[in-house]
Amino acid sequence: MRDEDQKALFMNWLNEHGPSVMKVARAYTLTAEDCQDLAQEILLQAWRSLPTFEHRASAATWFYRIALNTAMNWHRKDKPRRLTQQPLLEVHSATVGSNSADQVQHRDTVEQLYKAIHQLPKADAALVLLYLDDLSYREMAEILGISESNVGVKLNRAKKALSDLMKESAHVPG
Amino acid sequence: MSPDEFQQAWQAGTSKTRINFDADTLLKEVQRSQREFRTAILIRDYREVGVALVMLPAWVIMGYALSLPWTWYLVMIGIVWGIVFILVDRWRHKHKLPGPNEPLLISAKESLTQVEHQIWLLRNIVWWYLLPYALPMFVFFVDACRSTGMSWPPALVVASLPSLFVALLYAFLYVLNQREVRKRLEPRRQELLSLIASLTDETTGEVSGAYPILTGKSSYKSISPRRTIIATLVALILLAIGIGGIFVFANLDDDSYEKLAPFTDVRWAEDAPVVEIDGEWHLLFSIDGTDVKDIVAFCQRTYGDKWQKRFGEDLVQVLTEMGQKPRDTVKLDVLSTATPVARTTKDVAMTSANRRAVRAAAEKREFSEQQLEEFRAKSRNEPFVPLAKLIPTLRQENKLVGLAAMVVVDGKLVGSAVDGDRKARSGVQLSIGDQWHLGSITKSITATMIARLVEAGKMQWTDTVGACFPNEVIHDDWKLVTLRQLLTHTSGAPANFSVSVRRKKPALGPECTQARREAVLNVMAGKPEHAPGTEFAYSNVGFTIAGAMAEQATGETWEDLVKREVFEPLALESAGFGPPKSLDKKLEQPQGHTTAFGWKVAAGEDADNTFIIGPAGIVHMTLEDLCTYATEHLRGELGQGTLLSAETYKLLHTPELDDYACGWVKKGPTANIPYDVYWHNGSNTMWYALVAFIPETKTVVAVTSNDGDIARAEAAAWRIVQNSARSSKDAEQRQTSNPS
Repeated sequence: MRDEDQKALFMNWLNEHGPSVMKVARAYTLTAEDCQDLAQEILLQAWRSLPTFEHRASAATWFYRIALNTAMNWHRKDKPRRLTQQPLLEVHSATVGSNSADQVQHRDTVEQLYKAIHQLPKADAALVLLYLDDLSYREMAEILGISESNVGVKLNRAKKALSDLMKESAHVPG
Repeated sequence: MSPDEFQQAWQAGTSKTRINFDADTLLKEVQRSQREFRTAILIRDYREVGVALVMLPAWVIMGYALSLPWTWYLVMIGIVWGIVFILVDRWRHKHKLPGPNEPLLISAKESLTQVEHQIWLLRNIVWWYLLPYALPMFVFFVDACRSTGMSWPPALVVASLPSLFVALLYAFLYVLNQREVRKRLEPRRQELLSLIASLTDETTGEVSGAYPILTGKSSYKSISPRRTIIATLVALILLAIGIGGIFVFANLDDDSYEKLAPFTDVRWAEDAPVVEIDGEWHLLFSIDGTDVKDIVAFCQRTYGDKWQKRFGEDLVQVLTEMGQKPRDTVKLDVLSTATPVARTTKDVAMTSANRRAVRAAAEKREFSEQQLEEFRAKSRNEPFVPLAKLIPTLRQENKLVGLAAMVVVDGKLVGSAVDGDRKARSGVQLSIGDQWHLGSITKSITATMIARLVEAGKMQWTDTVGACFPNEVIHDDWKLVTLRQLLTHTSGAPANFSVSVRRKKPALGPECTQARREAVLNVMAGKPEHAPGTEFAYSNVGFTIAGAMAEQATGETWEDLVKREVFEPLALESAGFGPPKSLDKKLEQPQGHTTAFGWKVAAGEDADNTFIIGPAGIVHMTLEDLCTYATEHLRGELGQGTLLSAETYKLLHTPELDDYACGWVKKGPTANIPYDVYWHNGSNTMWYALVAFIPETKTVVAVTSNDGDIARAEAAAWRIVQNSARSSKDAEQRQTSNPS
């Protein structure tokens, strides 16, 4: 792949799958700074892996694989903080001026969901993320490297764990 | 809410999420990071191997430059092993790097394999990294100690000190690595294990890892102290076996037969053995009824050149192989060479002590024969070499810091030369007028001083210790020891004072005289080490006692007596006590040196024996003064001395037991020096000096070195003496052939 082609493809995909990267990064970190660092690390890994991309998998599956693998291997202590750098990515929720009651409700739910995901075991968190992003069992199986039936069994358990956590957080006053 | 509702809310809440990025900056950043990543991998791959590759030539250069023994190069095996291990390990695990675009489970399993391999490497660092370096280092330390002449047990003890340092350093590295395992790798491994466990089917709960011991869930939590202790014990046992092995192989050649002998030495009259039994020599005719001729014939047939050695040292093997295995005692048919009355048959015990005596006697003979032969071979074709050429050559050959010599014939200087530095690596060159520590040459000066006191009627050769110190507590065996016995090493005194005395550093003067008196009285309160007057035993203590007796008789200090009776009458202006001193920091005088692991280390201006043993060895002076002193003795021997009468000089130069006179050793003519030579040497282990005079050629030779490598300095010194004797011989021959 020529450099220019690689660059064009990467930018395209980033437009399309950037939000998934951010979601994974946020799901596996606790602070905004860590989230930025992890997101950047995922993009670096993706860039490195791009030449080996085989079109057997879809770009979405490929991005998720890289994001999850990087997140699983990522440790704050492993990398010195990139102090000199500007954040390379900026996240906008694109909600300015549209604060309907539903949207506020959704935003709150999303926040709750992130909190719950942080408490789940890493594998369950991955399943839940894929589920919430509405990936099929087949795609989940491809990303995680397990059978579809196994995805079903594990996802049911993970969903139950998520529900329990969400219930608990609903009872927390304030 | 149900999970499906969460899903809807999630998608509604995140669908409008937009990511803003500056494409060029982001790309630049990823490309920069990519470069850094590649560099990091490259550095990692080449770091250890690179360091090792630099170490290899450095090791060779150091070994060559410092003339280190072959064991130094053993460490290179460890270095090569380290390189090979790292390369092979990298190569084997090169293709196992987990790809980030693999499915999560596969990626996690690959990560686990990696982590477990890292743990395996760090846990076994002792075997593949630390021991391959540490063991050869230990062997080198032992060898270095052995090469200084130490026997095995002290060599092992001394070598264990630097080894302990290396061991501590390694223990530190080991602990660091285990900490890395505990704090970082093991938690990571547990994390991966639980991730994999939660992704795999419950039915196939097994997790595969490269390191089976670690794959059990609970089998590996931390380094257990028990395992550490067991591993340490195993390592120590292996070390002991290794060292024991070296020891055994170094000392024993064939252990399958008992090493026993019925006699303590064997000499050969052609093919007939003459054996020593109970200190007497006997002709040997048969052993247990077997004719000795048959045994000798068997030895000659079976062992070729080594037949005499086999007969003497491996008699059990010889007789067993002849089908006549000896019992604990053997019947020997012998004829005593001392009292040839008749042949007798003796029942003699076969003992290992006898066998050791046979071996020791043979070794001694082999050594002296070999040494003599080497000496002869060297000198046979050696022409006379001028000192100016000989001294630099000998200094370099023997790797001495400095070497100097002066030859005086009939009171006239005929040659002198000096080469080397006053202090190693200082660049300040030695000069012929420098002062040198003379060590035990002091003994002859003490004896000369006492001879002056005897001639002055202040002392007598027959003065006894008991009479000299009438009011002190002295062991009865000491009381009749005479001054002359003390000056000829026949008093029975021990070789040296105890360590506590040697550690005392009293200043010269009354304080030192008092300390000397206390030290000698303390020795004489106990029994002498040998029966007085019966055997020669070189002793610094004996000369110190003689010095203390002179101090007692005159009420003056030993150093004042020596100055007044010897230095001043002979005008030895450079003579003084202790190491030579520079008045300022310009290194006006040389410094003594010791050798530590191949490095010459300057000993400073104060390092010396305690001044308590002053009468046995602390004088310094220039070569010129040393030659003046020896010339006085040479002239004294010829009846022309100025300091003492001819009779007194005769007495000072006549050996008592062995070949030792009062501070002089008398050596008869040899192939290399065909004259009587009177000589003495000295060293406080930081300096070396040798002075010799040959009455027949009226030659005095003095050699000095500011290097305590006694063996090498001694070898150089005798080459110089031989060379000087040769020049005298040449001169003599020239004179004979040209009588004009």
